[in-house]
Amino acid sequence: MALNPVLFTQFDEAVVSTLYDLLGDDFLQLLETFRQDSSQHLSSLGPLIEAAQVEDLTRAAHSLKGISANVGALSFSELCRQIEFMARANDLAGCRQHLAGLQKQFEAVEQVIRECQ
Amino acid sequence: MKVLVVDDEQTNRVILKAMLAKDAHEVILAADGKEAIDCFEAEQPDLILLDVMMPVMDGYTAARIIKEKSTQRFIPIIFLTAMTDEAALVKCIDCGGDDFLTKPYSRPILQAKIHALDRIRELYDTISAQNAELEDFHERSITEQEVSETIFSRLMRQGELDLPMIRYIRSAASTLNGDILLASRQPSGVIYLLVGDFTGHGLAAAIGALPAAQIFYAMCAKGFSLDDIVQEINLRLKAFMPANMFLAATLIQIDPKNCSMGVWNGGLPEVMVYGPDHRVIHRVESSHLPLGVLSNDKLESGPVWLPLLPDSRIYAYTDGVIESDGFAGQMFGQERLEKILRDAITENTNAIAQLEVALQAFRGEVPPRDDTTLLEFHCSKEYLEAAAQHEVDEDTSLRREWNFEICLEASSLRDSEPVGLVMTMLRQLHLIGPYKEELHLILSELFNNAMDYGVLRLDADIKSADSGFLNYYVKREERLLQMREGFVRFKLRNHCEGETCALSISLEDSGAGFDFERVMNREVDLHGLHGRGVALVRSLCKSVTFTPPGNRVEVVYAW
Repeated sequence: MALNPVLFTQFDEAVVSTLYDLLGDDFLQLLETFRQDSSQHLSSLGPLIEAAQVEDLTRAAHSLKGISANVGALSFSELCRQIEFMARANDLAGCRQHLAGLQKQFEAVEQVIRECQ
Repeated sequence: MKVLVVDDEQTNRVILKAMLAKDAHEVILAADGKEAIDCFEAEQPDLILLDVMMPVMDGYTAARIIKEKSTQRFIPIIFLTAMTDEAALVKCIDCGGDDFLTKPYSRPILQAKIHALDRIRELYDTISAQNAELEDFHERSITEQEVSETIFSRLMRQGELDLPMIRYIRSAASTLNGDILLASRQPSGVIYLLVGDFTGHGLAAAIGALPAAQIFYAMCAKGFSLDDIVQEINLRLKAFMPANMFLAATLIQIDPKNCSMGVWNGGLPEVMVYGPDHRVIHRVESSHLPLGVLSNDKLESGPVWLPLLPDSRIYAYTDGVIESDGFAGQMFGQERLEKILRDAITENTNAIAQLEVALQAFRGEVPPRDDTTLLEFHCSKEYLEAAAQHEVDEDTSLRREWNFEICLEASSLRDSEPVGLVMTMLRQLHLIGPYKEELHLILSELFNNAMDYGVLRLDADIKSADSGFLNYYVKREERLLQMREGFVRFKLRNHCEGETCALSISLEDSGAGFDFERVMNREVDLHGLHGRGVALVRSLCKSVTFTPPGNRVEVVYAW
């Protein structure tokens, strides 16, 4: 199976091809794992912002940033990094503002994953 | 390699596991710090990839605990981090981390890091194996040193260094001394002394001290001459010690009966004798190589003989004394030594105590570089008087009555030394001290005659012809090899009549006898090459009697 080029609209080509070389068909399985884990973390962000639980918020953004970087979703990872940074700086308003953008970005990523399956 | 991957994110674990598995590493997974510690203990991994932020227990804590538990082995920890925060990175290293891997993971970088850390691990393993070996070796060497120290100090205690005439300084540069100091006294009052300095210190030197001391004490106890003792120690050291190990030594024999002392100095500083006038009257410099260097045939073992004056003092010492380093960087020196000794003797104070104080003061805090040994022998009037008293007693040992007989058959005659055997027996009876040379001569002559003309039936006249001696010895060798039967019987008897005691020696052989009357009546040229034996014996003995047919001779030696 060749990789659907649509992936590269959301995922870094170099990272993806490395992982694909490594995992073969299991790569799609990895994407699915990533999608589920991210979706879980992402849904926790909103309530954490509202509850002003900065520490947990930072941790969630940090994890999200890490896993997305590892699968090559670099734009998404960059947004996570900004939210982690603002959370660390206790900037809840900034977090709230970025969250919408992050959700939008995630939908695009999810869309691409779904298309590949 | 067995790698433990610790990350709370499934995504990360899948990626790392895939990367590692591709390089044929065995991968164990854990989702938090707590699990990591359990896996570490159960699986003993070779490398750990550890995430920082995790639920239950974070990476910092896990790293600290794992490093504490892995003191025997080096188990590298690579922190998995996206952090760019410098303080956090520093904290990783402080907790025991060895490297970082940042997200997104790159396989070549991970491979390179594993490779680098593995090299360090190998180095660490080698070093800790060597360390363990070194520790083991160190322990063993301490035990061995203790054992040799015990042996060494027992050896040194064996002698008679606590005699009132003897004082000494003995100090070691290391725990084990390379200097030896031995003293032995015979019942007759003869005293033997040995001051020695082995090349090197410590165990090697102590090993050499063992045979040297054993030979010294054994031979002194049997009254051997200084000459013989020097030969024997040299022989044994030469045979058993490595080429670079030898014993610089001074051996001294004090003979109060003959008022003389023999000094043999091989490689030590000059022996000094202070006379009753408190001045040095003799110096015996080293005129030989140390013991254990030359083979016996090249060694001159004869001592220098000096008169033994009442109230004289003899000093023998190792170079550690005069070469002691002072705090000011100079050496103690011969001059300083002699001044201290002269002053102490003149003031009639304890020279050894004075010298000890002076050495201590001179050295200050400088640790001694060499072992230091100095021996003083004071030929006191008490000592000489006691020896004189013993001389009276010694006469009584000549008055003991005894006899023994020993018969050697063909097989023993071929390869033993019967004369040496008889001499040893006489020595054990404490009889032969001053008579040794003469008795040896008599026994040798009688035995040679019994052997050559008796047992081997050689014709004495062969010697008179041209190249007679050579023919004679060729024949002798032949017959000796062919000899199947025959014997020589020694009978010795010490007998007293009134005040006079005499030793009678008789030799009987298996030969046919000879025309002894012709020999006895012949005017013998004492300087001639042959026929000399009987004449010599006759000149030393009170009587010489042959019994027909001439295979038995009896001589009487008056003490």
